[in-house]
Amino acid sequence: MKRIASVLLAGIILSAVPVTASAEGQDTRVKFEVDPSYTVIIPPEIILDPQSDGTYAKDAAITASDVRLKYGQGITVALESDYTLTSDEGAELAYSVIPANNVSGDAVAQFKTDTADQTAVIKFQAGVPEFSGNYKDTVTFVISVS
Amino acid sequence: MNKKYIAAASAAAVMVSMISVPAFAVDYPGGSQDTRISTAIEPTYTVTIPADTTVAFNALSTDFGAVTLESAQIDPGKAVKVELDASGSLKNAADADKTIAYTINTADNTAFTSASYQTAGDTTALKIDITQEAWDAAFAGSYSDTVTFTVSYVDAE
Repeated sequence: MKRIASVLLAGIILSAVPVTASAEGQDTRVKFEVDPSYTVIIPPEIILDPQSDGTYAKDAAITASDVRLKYGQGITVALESDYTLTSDEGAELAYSVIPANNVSGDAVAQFKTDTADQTAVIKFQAGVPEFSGNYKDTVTFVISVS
Repeated sequence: MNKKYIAAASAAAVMVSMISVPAFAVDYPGGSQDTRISTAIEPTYTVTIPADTTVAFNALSTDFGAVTLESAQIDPGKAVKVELDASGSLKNAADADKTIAYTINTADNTAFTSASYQTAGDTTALKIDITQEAWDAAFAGSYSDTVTFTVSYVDAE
């Protein structure tokens, strides 16, 4: 009787293997980076058309696509120009630029984060020219994030 | 007095580019891009000249209206020139050999042959002058003549 009991007890002891377990919570850091991006399309040339009142004008479209910026940021489009068209003979014709709707400050157009295409229309407006001729000027579009 | 209008053959140009040109793209983080602004304005002008005029018998001087540059949008250094071609003889309808001499003069009694204008509103008043001697020598009948005004776009003098 005694021998049988001893064998059984050893089997029970061998089966009780200890397992190490964590007794506390563990933090895991989750992160990812999203690079800002956008593409702004501006026209390379704007040719003013005669209007019924003798002035000259043209609407120009600026398009922003795939805009993805940090929260609170936006794209600002500004213009650098002397706002004077000059003919080959030296005659001058002043013009102005009417910004797109809902812009602030010196911007002519502003865009926000949006995966859909956004279009802003600005208007170039010149007065009634005193002289005929071929007039031209160069403006610089400055695009920045703010 | 009625006026005749002469408008320049060219109208103001409508310069709408039909050529497809690539647009400029500016990507993040930003930048600048130059754009050309332009327009072509063709010269235009309107000149009024005297209309048909009736000279009363024995009238030594008859108002002949005016040559006027009514409107002008011309190149700097250019002018609109109006030249007059007149025979100087009113011809009898029944016998063309019977004539009455006349001259077309400006208000200061200078014979008008041509004038150049650059500014809208520039004008030259004209009159038809016939001497009393010419009237006294005239045969009875109806007399007439046709004068020609020629308008051209020239370099300013």
